[in-house]
This record gives sequence, structure tokens and C-alpha cells, in this order.
Amino acid sequence: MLGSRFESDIPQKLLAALEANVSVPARLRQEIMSLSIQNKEQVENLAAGIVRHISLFAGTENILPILTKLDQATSGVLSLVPRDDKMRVDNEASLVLARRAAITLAAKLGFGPVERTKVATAVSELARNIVMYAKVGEIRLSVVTNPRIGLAVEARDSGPGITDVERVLSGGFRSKTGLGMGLRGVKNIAHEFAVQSAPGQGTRVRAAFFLSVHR
Amino acid sequence: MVDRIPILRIRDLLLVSIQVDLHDLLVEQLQSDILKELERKSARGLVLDISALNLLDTYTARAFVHTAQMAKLMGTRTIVSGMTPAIAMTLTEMGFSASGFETALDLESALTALSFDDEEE
Repeated sequence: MLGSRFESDIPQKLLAALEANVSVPARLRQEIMSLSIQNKEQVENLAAGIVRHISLFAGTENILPILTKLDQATSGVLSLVPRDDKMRVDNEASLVLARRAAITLAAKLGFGPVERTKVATAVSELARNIVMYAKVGEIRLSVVTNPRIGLAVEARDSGPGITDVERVLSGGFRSKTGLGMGLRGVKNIAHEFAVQSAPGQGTRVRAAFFLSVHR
Repeated sequence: MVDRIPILRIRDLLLVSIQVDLHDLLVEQLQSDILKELERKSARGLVLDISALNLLDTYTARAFVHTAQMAKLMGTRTIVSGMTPAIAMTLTEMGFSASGFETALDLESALTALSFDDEEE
């Protein structure tokens, strides 16, 4: 009983805190007031909408400060402030979890559906390469602010490494299992991309995605 | 996690609606279940509806291509229906060729393409 009453005034508190920082148009106000915080997808979409609104009307440098205030006002129930995440990847289940974490973080950064899909697909490809070739590794998701606000995906492992990175990325190498296609694909959809790998030295891949300001 | 995706048979069509997060074992299981079902009783068409998915990586997309090829060898035409714009854009930008399987905008178009209604006449 208490719990539901507590939750029911979250939308009001969120709206008040947001209005204290930036003007809120009727449509966004309506979206906030009709928020059901159990609905994860709705929360994600609203979070993305709020970030886009702040970036347009208060500037991207104000996204994180304002989100912090919104979290304070709502006792952190919605956890709007995007946080870095680090996950061990060693099987199918962890691959699925890494993908979901990427979608959640991308939404908190204001990424739309297409960008969210791209980020999650990149995580899926990199996590799969870890499971297939290195067996164990790590996926890190981090918030970047330079040159724009965005999300960096880092995959690290101490597996066998890649003999000829250039050849894999140029498409000259086709593995039966599709390592080349996955890695090349991630390179094609990411805004920044780097691979460090050598035989016996493991592999580190970093792919960054930035929030587009024109929307 | 779910460990099996149901395969529905409607007249001589197989219909698979994928509504859960796909992982590799699930994809392999689905592939072998489809082939077993085709062996049991032939089907004219197979529809894989992916409208509920928000993600399709190259591994899974390739698995669909393989499934379509195997089904074809067993006399069945495969159509993947309901791909979201986000998935279509992502796969295309990644350089994944869409020529490996036939697609339809939605389930209804897929069924029309397989002339599902013909038998009524």
C-alpha cells in the first residue's frame, strides 16, 4: 500500500524537478504523468525522450547535471543517470545480459531505437567473439562526453588473439564462424572503432557511439 | 531463459513467431526443430516472424540464411517477416547481404506471398 502510494507521486516529482531546469512541452508532460514505473520499456523511452529534450533546450553539457537532480528528486527510483557497467562474458546467458545492459544504457543517453539497436548489436557481436574464441572476457560500457555525449563499448579478453587484424577488417578473411563479418560490421556501424590484438596477447576492441544532435 | 521456440503448423505452412531474446543455443535448437518437423511432414512454406525482436546480429541472421537454405533443400520456401527498420538499417550498414533469405514486411504479406489463401478456393 505504502509502496504504491510512494511510487504514484514519482511522475509529479520528476515533472517538477524537470520544469525547474528546463521548460517542458505539453507532450512530454503528458508522457511523464502517464508513466508507469514498472514498465521498463516505457521508462527507457521516457528517459531517452528527457535526455533528447535536455540536449536540445539546455545543451548537452547540462544532460548529466540535470539527470542527477531528477534522480535526487525521485529518490533514484528511475535511475536516470547513466552509469558505467562492466560484465564478465563467458556464456550465452551473459551475452544476452550484456546486450540488455547496452540497450538500457543507450536509452538513458537519449539514443533512439535505431541507435539502441546498433549499440546492442555491436555488444552482441563482440561478446560472441569472446565466447567463441577466448571463452572468457569482459564487456565494459562507459559514458563518454568527448567530442559529444555517447557510449563506448569495450571488449577485452586474453584469448588467442587475431593474427592479421587488417586482413580481418578489410574482408580478406572469412572464417567459418563469422568472426570477420561481426568485427567488420561493428566497425561499419560505430562512430569510432579500434582493435588491439596479436597472437597470444588477447584482443581489445573499442567501439564508440555518439548521440546525434540533429533530431 | 526459454529453451525452445514453438513451431506452429497451419495446413501446409510452418509458422514460427520469435518473441524472446534469441541466444545461440536457442537458434540452433530452432533450426534443428524446423528440420525435424519438415522431415516428419513436408511443408510448402516456412515463415519466421521477427517483428518482436529489437536486435538481430550477424550470427543469428546467418543462421536464418542457413535455415532457409536447408529448408529449400527439403522443398520448403522460407520467408522472414516483420523486420523492424532499426534492424534493417543496422544489418545493411554492417554489410550483411539480405539476399540469403526472402523477406516480407509483415506476417500477412508473408502468408499472401506463400498463397496461403489459395486452398480456400
